[in-house]
Amino acid sequence: MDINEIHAILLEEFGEAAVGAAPHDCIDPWIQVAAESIVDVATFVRDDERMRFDHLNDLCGCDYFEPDEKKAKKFDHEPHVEVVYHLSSMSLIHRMKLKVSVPRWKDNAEGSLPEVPSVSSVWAIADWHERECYDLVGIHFTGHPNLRRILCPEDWEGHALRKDYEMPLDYHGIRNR
Amino acid sequence: MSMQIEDPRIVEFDVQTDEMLVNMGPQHPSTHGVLRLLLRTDGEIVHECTPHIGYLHRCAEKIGENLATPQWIPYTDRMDYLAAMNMNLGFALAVEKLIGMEVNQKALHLRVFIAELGRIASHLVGMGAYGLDLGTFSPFLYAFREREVILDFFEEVCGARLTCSYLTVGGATHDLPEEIEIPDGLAALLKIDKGQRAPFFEVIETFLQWLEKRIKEEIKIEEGK
Repeated sequence: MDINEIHAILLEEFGEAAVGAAPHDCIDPWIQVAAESIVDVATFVRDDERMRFDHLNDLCGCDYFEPDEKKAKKFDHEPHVEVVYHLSSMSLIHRMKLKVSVPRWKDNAEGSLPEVPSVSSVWAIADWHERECYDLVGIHFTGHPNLRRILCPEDWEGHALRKDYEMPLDYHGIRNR
Repeated sequence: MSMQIEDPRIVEFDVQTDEMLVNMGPQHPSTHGVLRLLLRTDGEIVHECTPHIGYLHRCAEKIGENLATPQWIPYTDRMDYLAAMNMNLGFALAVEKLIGMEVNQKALHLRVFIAELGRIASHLVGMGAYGLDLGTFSPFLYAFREREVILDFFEEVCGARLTCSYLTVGGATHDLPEEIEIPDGLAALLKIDKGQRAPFFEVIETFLQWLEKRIKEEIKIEEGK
């Protein structure tokens, strides 16, 4: 199924507030989804007869931010973080990407993580993917059954794939830099 | 907890056991790598298992942020060191898609060819080690014997056996060799003298034909003929 057809169905079902106006025109087109309606959209695309996206290939986070002030002027993205859902259908053999973008920090308060509802109830594999995304990109998945760090130690500070991340000088007496 | 067993021939051992927290790994021979499992056991029954997979994480993404794209190719070798060529290919394809690069036909054919060899080598280890887990040792040795030949080919192609870094963005680092010395392992399998030279593709074809024959033999044994 073509991404434009999928987008038309989603638009009809959820309206423009939940689904972006049009799929983005690029090499890999994606559909923008509002953070609060991602669980509904995910459940819909999984269960709908025409789409049947029964497989979550990957869920990853991405930080759009340029820490260098000189380069920041040329940086043509509004600072934000994104969660990307790579979906495919085993039965109908087609693929799609969904994206959710949220501000870098919740309520602009540095250190409080932005919130995205968890889709681990829709695709069980999202459990670990969301833990990784939380660990490295710093996105809080609300409603996740077990949101702990998965790759870094549990007492690690910061989220390593944020662009303004700085490695701590010292970890339990081990010099890092 | 005592179980009621109706069959009187089975003697019930009512051994009192306590719950125990066991750290399995991160360095444990049966985990095939660095995996730590936190087990809550009661006698022989595992009640809870918490996997800690972080010991295997090598921060490749973070390192990649500060490197030029071709510099990251050697890191893709380490993503799956049993099929390093295929990992190179995956990354190269992604970059080519992003920058809209078209790769010439020769390089595309070369890549299919190399990636297939890598796949065979990787599957040999996979199936061999699977047998090892089930308690049979011989298939593992046979699988490694065949894999050795493929690694010899890789050595002739790019100089490395495990971390090849051969397929890169835009094609491959250099062309395939015209003529190679038949690997000692293959010479032993074919029962010919060591040290002979032959055109590269001829050697590969001989090896694949030999492999095909072996697979057919195997199927015959399975079918009981």
